[in-house]
Amino acid sequence: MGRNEIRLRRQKMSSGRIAQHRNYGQLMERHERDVKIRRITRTVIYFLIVLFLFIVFLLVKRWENNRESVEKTSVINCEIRSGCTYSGNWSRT
Amino acid sequence: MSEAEIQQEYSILERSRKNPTAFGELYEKYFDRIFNFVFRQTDDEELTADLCSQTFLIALKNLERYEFRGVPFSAWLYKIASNEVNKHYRKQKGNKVFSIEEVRIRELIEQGNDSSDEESIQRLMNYLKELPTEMLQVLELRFFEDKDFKEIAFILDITESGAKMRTYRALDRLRKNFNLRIRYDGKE
Repeated sequence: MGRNEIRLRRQKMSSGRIAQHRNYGQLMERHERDVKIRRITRTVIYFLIVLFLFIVFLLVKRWENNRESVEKTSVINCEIRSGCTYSGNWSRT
Repeated sequence: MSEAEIQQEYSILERSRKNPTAFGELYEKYFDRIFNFVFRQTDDEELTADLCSQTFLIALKNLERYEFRGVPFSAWLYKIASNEVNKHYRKQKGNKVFSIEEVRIRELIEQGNDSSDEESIQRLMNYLKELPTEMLQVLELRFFEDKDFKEIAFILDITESGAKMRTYRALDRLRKNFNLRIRYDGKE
């Protein structure tokens, strides 16, 4: 059993016949379409990256706000319960 | 290919990078050669037209990345075409087809003293059938496309000495079996 299939062609393909497949206009159309698709894809990817960074920024911001409010609440609770004040370090009055 | 011709092609490429319409000149120049090269490996006109169009499309898309490496621009097109053909066969998972013009086979046989009768043609076909694909590719580029070893090495992504070795081995067996007088450099 051969590794390749070898075929014998009686005649060489004529240049007229090859010319039927030659179409630079069509190739240019495909190229322009490809360029357009590539440009749109790139824009969408950039947009998604910016959106992702923005969401991360919002989440960090929210997490910081939550932490601050938790700290404030604990300070108030501590003052109410045991009369602690915060002036750089905790001291009992 | 002369130095002036390579220079002229390079200037067309430079223009094509700014304006892809200029690439048309190279498309017209090389379409027939690439078509014949692909057709010899597929034996299917419509498939060849598709792969050929894909080859030029890829070339056009990657023009920015093309850099001169001591071989003519056509070698780059052959390389892309060869990759596209291999990709097609990988997808199909079928045997690779080599469709050779009878005229060329007769020319090869007539270089020796044998007359090119049907029996010797059949023997040569059987011999080619048993050759590994890598050797067939090298022989095709060397004797049907008249490429030098540097170009063959670039197209098939092998070393120049590797291309020479493959050709030498294939030709050695060819000489012994068919009494052909093909020289290592491809000339009689």
